[in-house]
Amino acid sequence: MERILDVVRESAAREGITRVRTVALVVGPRSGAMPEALRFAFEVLAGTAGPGGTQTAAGPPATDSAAIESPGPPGRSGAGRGPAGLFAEAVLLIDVPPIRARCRRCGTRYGEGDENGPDWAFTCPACGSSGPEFLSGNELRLDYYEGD
Amino acid sequence: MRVKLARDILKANDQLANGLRRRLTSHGVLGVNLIGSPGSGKTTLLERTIERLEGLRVAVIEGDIATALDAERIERTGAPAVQINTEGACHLDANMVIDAASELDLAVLDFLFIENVGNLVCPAAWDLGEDVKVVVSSVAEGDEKPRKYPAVFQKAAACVLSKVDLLPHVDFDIERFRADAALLNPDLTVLPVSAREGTGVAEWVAWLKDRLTAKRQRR
Repeated sequence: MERILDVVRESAAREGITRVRTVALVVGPRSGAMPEALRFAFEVLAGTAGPGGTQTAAGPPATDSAAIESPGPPGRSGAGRGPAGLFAEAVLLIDVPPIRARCRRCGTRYGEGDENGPDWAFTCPACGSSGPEFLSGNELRLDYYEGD
Repeated sequence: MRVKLARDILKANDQLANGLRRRLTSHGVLGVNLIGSPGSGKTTLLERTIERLEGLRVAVIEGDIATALDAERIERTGAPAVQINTEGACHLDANMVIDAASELDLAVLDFLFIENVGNLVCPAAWDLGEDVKVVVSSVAEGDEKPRKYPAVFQKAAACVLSKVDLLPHVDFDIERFRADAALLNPDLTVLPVSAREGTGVAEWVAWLKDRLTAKRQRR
């Protein structure tokens, strides 16, 4: 998370941005990263920690895609953490994309979000082959940030 | 204003890992990343493996949250060992491994074993520059490990099923374990081993030597 904020900090300096409003991550369920842990680290490192709480919104369009918001209460400054208050009002958005796979034998695309979801081992619903190629769900990406 | 970055957060780690992998390849060294729960028998397996690899040159990088106990055990076998203490981190990353490897002469090695921090979750996500990941799972832990921790079984080339001398004393369905592991990863080689009694160690060592030979032939 420290590295993520460093990247945003450097980019904001280049772009002349003094207030970051949003930091958006893409965190696949197979990435090994926990959105809750990332949110906690963000609050501590960005200096937005407080009784902000967590909002979990249903992300469009699949039901298994969720966005987790971590709003920092206005007024708390990120003093002492780089340019004064750069992240003081920043909100962390985490997009959790569904796990999607492609069968190596028959090419069928399947995964979370299908009417009949995949089995625990992600075997192909069409031909029963195991060990598919995973198309999404491994992401751990800093997607964008917004500021002014 | 929205600034699109699309930055892969693990990219820095993966680039370091690829650099180490190239160095290992240039020296003809096989890098093996051992991943397993605490107490699954990773260090004992390494002790028996080093004895059986007599004549081949082995070094070990040991990852633990604290203490140098495992590196001390490895050094008693005569193999060089470097201990990494992660001081809380639940996995090794490529940067830590490169630091540790700088204390070893890679040019004189055949095998570099990296014993990861005892954990079946996070180590699966971090590339250390190894050629193969090997998951160590003991029969005492239960036969549902592939179902509970699929990622590490999907990414591993082999699974050492350790402590098989305990099979008469535990409720462990080895056929269920094999079937689940094969469903997750049809290419996974499952090697039942008892480091204590020596069962299966020869097959495991033969698998390692085959991988080393295959790597050197590809060069």
